[in-house]
Amino acid sequence: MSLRFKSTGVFSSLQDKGRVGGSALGIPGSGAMDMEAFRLANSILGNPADAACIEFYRQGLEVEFSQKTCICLVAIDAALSLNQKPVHLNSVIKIKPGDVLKVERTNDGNWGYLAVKQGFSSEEILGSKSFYPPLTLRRFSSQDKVEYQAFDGEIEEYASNLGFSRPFASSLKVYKGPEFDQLSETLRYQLFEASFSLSTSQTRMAYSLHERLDNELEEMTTGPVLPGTVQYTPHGKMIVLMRDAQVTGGYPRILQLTEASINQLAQMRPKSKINFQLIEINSEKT
Amino acid sequence: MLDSTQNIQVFQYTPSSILVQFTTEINENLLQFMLNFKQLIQQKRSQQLHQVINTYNSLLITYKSTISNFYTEKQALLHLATQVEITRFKSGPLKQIPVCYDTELGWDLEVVSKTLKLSISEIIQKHSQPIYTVYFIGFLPGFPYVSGLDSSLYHRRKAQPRDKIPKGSVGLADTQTGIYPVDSPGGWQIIGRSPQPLFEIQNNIPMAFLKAGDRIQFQPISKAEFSQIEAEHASHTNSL
Repeated sequence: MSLRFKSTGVFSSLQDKGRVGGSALGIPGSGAMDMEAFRLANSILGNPADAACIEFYRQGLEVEFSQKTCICLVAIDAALSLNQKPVHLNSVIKIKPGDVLKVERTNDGNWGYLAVKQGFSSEEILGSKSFYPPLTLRRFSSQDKVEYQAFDGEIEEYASNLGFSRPFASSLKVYKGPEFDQLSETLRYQLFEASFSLSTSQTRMAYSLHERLDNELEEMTTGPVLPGTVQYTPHGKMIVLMRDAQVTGGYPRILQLTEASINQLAQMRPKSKINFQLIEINSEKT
Repeated sequence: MLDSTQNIQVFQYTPSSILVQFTTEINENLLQFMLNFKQLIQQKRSQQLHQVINTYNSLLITYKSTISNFYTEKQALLHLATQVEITRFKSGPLKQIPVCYDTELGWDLEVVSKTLKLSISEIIQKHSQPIYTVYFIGFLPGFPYVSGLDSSLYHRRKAQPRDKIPKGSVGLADTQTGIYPVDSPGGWQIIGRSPQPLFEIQNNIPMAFLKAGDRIQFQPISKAEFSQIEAEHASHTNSL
């Protein structure tokens, strides 16, 4: 009773809401890069909110199912096929043994989520099935299998074609980071008035920005960091930490993305333009 | 020094986390204060917390839900800080960490020897003599941040980081020394390798060999001893 990877595409792994309680051992929280897309995939199937999904980066994922079930695939904009016939994103897809699902193309966005009724099974460490080496595999490989329970019922398609569209916005909402106050007036001006572009470096650990700002800050004593922290390196490079970020870091933490902005940034491709919009923590509206 | 709240900065990091930073000198007294404070916060907020971690001079408190009123919580934390018992540094157990300082495993021993103008045996002696204090675990699962490196061993990182440093490698970086618990890219100058696993998973429970407050000492071993200890660990555990 399993799913077999005929092709994993660029990168695919198992992800859920992530783990807590590992920071003191140096273990990051992990979890879905785009928590909103992950939650939608589970909710369309009426799954528990934390059911593990296969997270994949862009096109190429091709999987074969061995048992009856229902699945749902959420992505920003992708073309899917089931046994070579087009099927819809963001809707319930009935699966029978031997069916092959393929992500033919992703037109926009980076990370997609394949949910199965009741979630995929895998061992849990600190309450999470999210991949993170050395706790688990780093990623799936071709021919790997992942287990799920057969499901022979009906799912009301209440959410069919609901769509997963975020209003297009290049603006990322941020709070002041712990070292923000050390930035000069000029740097603050540049930080909020200039627009930046994403570099080609996009991993589950961090995304970096292409442009540099002349850095005047001194290095800091290594301290705690979180997903969404914008680090400012001595070379003036800005690095946005993502879900698999290490738990401590030594670069000044100048900004902190809101949770919604982390999800938004996760789906933005290299060269996308962004700008930072400073907000107060208590004024956040989602 | 820590009985006043003047040296404590309380900063809301995210809607559900607070960073407490101490502006006093980093030393074992501060470490002990932070560990006592951490314990007190965990006792008083046990139902509301995900976790509290410490670094050299900070505590990060992560709550299960959004902090409804930061200023109230800040005052409560500052008040709690005044109730922290000021104790002398109670070190954890002294743990011996065997290290083979052979040039075959200590890839940068010769480079370090040249730049620091110390013989390899002097490097080994200066590195293995002190007792180091573990401040926290970060960077990688099980990676200890320690203090106590002899200043004659301060050495810059490599200009070009390596793609893969093997698990157990013992390195130098500026004022720090450390051990890579897992294979990792890295820019530290590698002077030896330890067969002691620092991070393991047993029955699905991750465990680090070291924790904040522990003390460690490096114990020089030969290559034959290295292989022997490594084989023993490999046969008894599923270390990673």
